Amino acid sequence: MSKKIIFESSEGESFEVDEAVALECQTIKNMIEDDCTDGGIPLANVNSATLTKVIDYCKKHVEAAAAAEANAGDKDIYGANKDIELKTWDEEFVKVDQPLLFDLMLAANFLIIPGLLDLTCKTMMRGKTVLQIREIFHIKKDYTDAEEAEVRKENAWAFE
Amino acid sequence: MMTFYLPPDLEEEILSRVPTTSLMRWRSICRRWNTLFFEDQRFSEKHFRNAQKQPLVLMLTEHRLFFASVDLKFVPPSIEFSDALSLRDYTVSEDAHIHSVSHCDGLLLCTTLDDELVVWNPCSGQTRWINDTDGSMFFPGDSRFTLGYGNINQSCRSYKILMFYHINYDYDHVQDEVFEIYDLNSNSWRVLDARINARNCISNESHGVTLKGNAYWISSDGEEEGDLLSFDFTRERFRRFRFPLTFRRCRYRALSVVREELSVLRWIDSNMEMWVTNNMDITCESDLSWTKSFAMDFVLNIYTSVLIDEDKKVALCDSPHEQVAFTIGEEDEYYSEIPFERARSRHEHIFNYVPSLVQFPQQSIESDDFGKFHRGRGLGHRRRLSNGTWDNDNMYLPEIYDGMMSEEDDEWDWLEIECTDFSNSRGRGSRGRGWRKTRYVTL
Repeated sequence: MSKKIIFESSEGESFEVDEAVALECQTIKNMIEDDCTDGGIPLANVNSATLTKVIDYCKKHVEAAAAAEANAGDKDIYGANKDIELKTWDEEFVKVDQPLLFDLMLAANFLIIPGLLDLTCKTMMRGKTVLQIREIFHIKKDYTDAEEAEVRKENAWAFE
Repeated sequence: MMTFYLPPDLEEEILSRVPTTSLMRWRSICRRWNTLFFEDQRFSEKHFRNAQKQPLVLMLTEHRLFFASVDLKFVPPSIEFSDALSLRDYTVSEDAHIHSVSHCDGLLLCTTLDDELVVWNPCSGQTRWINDTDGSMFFPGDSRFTLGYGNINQSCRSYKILMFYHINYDYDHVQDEVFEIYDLNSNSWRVLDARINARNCISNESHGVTLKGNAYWISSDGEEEGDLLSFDFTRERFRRFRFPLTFRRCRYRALSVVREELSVLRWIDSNMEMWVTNNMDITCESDLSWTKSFAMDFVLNIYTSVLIDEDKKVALCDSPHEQVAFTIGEEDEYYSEIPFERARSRHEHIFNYVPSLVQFPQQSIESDDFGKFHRGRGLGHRRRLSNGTWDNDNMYLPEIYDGMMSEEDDEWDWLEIECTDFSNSRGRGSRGRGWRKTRYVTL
C-alpha cells in the first residue's frame, strides 16, 4: 500500500492521492522531502474543481510514465503510439472553458507541474486576436497608430 | 471575454511558449513586450527552451530572402512568397544583396555580393558584420562559411563561424585547405589545427547544413562522393559518418535538415530515394542509422531538397541549371514546377529554417567602430597567396576623395575619415559610397 498525501482545496474539501501522484508537483515534492505534509496540505488558492482536474492530470501522467518504463526494453513503434495517445489525452484534457483553463494554468504555476503549465499556456494563447491578448494581459496600447504601423512594417513578412 | 488576474511571472511563462512568428505580430501590442521579446536575453533563452519549434521554408531568390509556403491541398501544389526579409545595410539605405546563407538556431550567416559577412537574426533585426582576420570587411570570394555552436556547458552556447578556403600556389593547382574559426564571444579569428583525413574532401557541390550546432557536408574523394563529413563545433574536429549502406552504385545529393534529423537524396539506378536519420545524437560515437522516407521512380538533377511534409512525403527542391523550383513526392500528384529566379551559384537556395529570438553577444565598442564604418562596395577582389598574405593588385585604390585624404594616410586615420565620410553620405541612397581599406598587413 503506497503512502497517501491529502490535499485540501480552497473550499476545505479533502482529496487523498498516492504519493507518486503528488510527486508530479515540484512544490509538493519539496514539501514531502522536507517532511512537512502531515495533516494534509492546504491549497488556499486552488478550488475543488481545479484540484480534481489537476489530480486527474498527474494520475494519467504517472500511469503513462510507468507504462513507458515497463516497455522501455523493447523500443518500437508501440512506444511512439503511446506518446501519441498521451498527447491526444492532453488535448482532450484542456478542452475546458476559459476560466477553468486559467485556473489550471495558475495551479500548474503554483504547484510547479511543468507539463501542465506548458499545456495550459500553449492552449491559452492559441488563436487569440490582438484585442483578446490586450484584454487577458490588461495591456493598454502605448503605440500611436503611426508607430504601430512602423513596427509592423519592419516585419511585414510575419503578417501574412 | 472574461478578464483574469495574471501574476507577472506567469505572463513570461505564457509568452515564452508562443511561437516566434506570433510574437513577431505581437510586438506591436506594447512597448514593454517589444523590449522583452527582442532585447531581454533571459527571455529569449527561456523562449528558445519553451516554445515549439516552427520550421519554415526560406528561399534565396534575386539576392533576397523570402519565406515560402507550399500548399499541398492543390493539385499541383501552389507556392506563395512572403515579403522579403530586409537585411539593412546601415551604411546606405538599401537592403544588402545576399549571396549565400548558412543558419543555426534561427541565426543566419550571410555573405553578400560584395563579399561581406554578417550574422543576422531576421526576427529581432540584430546584425553583426564580421571582419576578416586582417580587419577587412571583405572576404576573398572563394571563402566558404558555416555557422554552428559549441557547448560551453549544458545551457550555454558559443556561436562560431567555420571559414575554409584553398591556398593557391598558382591558379590551377590547389595545394591546401585552410580552416579558421571565428568565435562570436571573443570576436576573433584563429587558424584551426584540424586536418581532414583526405584533402579537399568537402565537395564543391555540397553546401553545408547545421544540426544541433554541428556542421555536415557530403564529402568527396576525387571521383567518389560517399561519406558524410561532420564538424563538431564543441571539440573543433572533423568526423566521418556513413550513409545508408548499399552494394549498388549510388550518389548522394542535397543534404538537408528536417525536424532535428538529417535528410539526404540518393540516386540509385533510375530512382531517387529520400533518407532520414533516426534519433540523430551528436554525442553518439557510433555510426548513424537511416530510414528510407520514400522513393521516386524518376531522376532529376536536384541541388537542394528540403522535406516539407514528412507525412505526405513531399520535398521542395531546386535544380542547378533551371530557373524553377520543384515539389516532388512519393505520389505523382505532388509534382509541380514553380518559376524560381535562382542565382547560378553553387550555394544553397532553399532552407528549412526555424525562426527564433536567439541573441548573440554585442560587439565590443572598439571592434564595433572598426566594423561599422569600414564598409563600402567591393571594387576588386582579394586573393590569398600561399604564404597567407594578400594579393591586392587588382584592388581599387582611392587616392583622393573630395580632396580630403591621400593614399599616404595610415590605417586609423583612414577610419576616422571614413566615419566622417559615411555620416555625410548617409541618406544619399547610393549603395557603396565610401572607402574600403586599402592597406593590408603584409607578413
